[in-house]
Amino acid sequence: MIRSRLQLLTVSGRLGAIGASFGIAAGIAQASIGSHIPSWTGNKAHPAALGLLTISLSVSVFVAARTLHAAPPPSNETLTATTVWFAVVAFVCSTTVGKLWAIPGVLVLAAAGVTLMACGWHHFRTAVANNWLRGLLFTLGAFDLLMAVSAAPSITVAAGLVAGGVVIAAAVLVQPGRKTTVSLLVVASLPFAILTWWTIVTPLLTAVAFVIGVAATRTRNVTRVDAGIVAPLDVHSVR
Amino acid sequence: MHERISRRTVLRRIGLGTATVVVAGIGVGGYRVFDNGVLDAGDGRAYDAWATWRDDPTLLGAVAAAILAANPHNTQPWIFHVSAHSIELFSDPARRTGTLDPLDREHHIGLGCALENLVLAANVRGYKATVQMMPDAADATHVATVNLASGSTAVSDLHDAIGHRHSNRGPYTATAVTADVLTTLESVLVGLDGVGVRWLTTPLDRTTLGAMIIDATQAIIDDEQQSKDSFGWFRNNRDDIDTHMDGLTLDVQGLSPIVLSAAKILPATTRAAGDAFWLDQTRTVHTTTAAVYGIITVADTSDPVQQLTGGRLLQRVHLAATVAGLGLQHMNQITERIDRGTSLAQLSKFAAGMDALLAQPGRHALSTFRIGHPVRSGRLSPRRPVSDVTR
Repeated sequence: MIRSRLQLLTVSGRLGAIGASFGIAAGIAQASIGSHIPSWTGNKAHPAALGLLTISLSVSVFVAARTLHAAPPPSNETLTATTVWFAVVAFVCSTTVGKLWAIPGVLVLAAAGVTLMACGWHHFRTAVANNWLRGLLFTLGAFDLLMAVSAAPSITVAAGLVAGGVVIAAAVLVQPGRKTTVSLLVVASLPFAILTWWTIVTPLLTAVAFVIGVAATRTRNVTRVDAGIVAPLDVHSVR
Repeated sequence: MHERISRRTVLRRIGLGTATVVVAGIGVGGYRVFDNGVLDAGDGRAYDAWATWRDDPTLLGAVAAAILAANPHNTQPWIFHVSAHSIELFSDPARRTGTLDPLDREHHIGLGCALENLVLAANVRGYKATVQMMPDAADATHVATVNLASGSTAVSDLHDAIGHRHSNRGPYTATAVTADVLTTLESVLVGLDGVGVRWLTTPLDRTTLGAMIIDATQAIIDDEQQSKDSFGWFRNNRDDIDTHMDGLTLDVQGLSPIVLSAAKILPATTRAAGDAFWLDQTRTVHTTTAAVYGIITVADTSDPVQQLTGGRLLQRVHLAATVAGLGLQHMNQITERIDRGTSLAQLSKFAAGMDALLAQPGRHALSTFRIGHPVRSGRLSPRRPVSDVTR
């Protein structure tokens, strides 16, 4: 069983790393020659920005994939977060580089599936339930980032990237009683919400992020991602 | 034996469920913001032509100015052949609007508008431009040859306004357009034979024409084929805009920022909904806030040369209005119904009504527009790049 789990992590790590490598190549192609091959790259208005986004997300997948079979073994909560992140990246990048994401998308999704198998459905469900608010906050931050990369001018893009980045950071760092985290979250999100008030979505997102952030600081069973349920894995018993 | 669930647990689950639904809704909205270009209207490859039209000092730069001209439904019905001493302008037959313009009136007016920008841009580049319209009797798509000889550089306000000119379909303020301003707009007529401008400034004339425009709008909507042909050039989402780089978009409808954003986030509109919106805007915004109507007049509305010349005048008036800080919207529903009637060998009630309003025997309405002081600036429309329209 233990050997099987490690084998699964090795497989998912390799799948993720290969998929991410193809994804990085797709991002480079989008950023450099995307406007010249629109039928392949989805005919995007901002190929350079979307290419860079794809590269960034693919690098994050690559790093996560490489750590899957590194010592010490990842906790179930880390595996859960990795599964979700792989799935999110697979979805987001399907909208950024067109057909070029076909192969990396399949590989990253497969990596997500194998990581889920390694984690186990029961542990996955438990981790998701324990971190539901954190997940919602993370989702909001991801959508801030998504809107930011499609924005203009540069000041709006920058404000959006900061807003999304800080909301995601808050989702990872939020702890009961950490009111400073929520304050930071709101302050960092406000400029983007103000600059784009007429979309309605961004001010609403900031307000909801604030409410969820406050709720998360009051919820006792919000735990750090890296401090969750660790599977009874003895690394010394396997090769 | 059932496990008892505490009230706190129930409330917590309700709270989490509600938060999840709200976040999902924001997620859908956020994705639409990303996917439909809510935050980058007027930015990207489809809009580059507006930012780069002055960059190229060669004759291709003159074409870059020409492609920013007014044209029907933003079909951009032009093809340019550029050589050392001339630029040939051709019509692109694939870019017609069907039953909306069955006699090619608007098609040629749009080409005339492009011709005017081309001449202005050639003059700025030190050329003396001489225009020959319909130079090849055997080729109806060859609409003009612009012969270029060495001349002096002629800088003009009209040329400088090319990149700022946009059709403004939003509301106009109650501020009047003075007679002096109309005289200035009319002064651009110099050198264009056989065309004129008739201004409708009195409340009675404006009300009469406004009512005819509303009637004609309703008639187009009731004519299924005209409605379809019109809707066919509407680009409902950012992917369509980036793919085609032409057509009418939500951005150019003159909406307030918050309404425009909501329109982009909500699902794409149907033809029926689009028609209803158009009629409502015509009734409540376009006709009610028009400070003055202008009508380009010619002797024969079916003559391509007069259509092209009328287009040149229309473009000049639009550029002059831009210089004067005025908004201008082309409103050709009446003439579209007149030509539709002609193509079906039916007498249109609008032809007699328009002639009576003009009260200029021997002259007919070629094109109609409204002007006024705009509440909001006009927004950019997509344009195909020069490389796509030169052969």
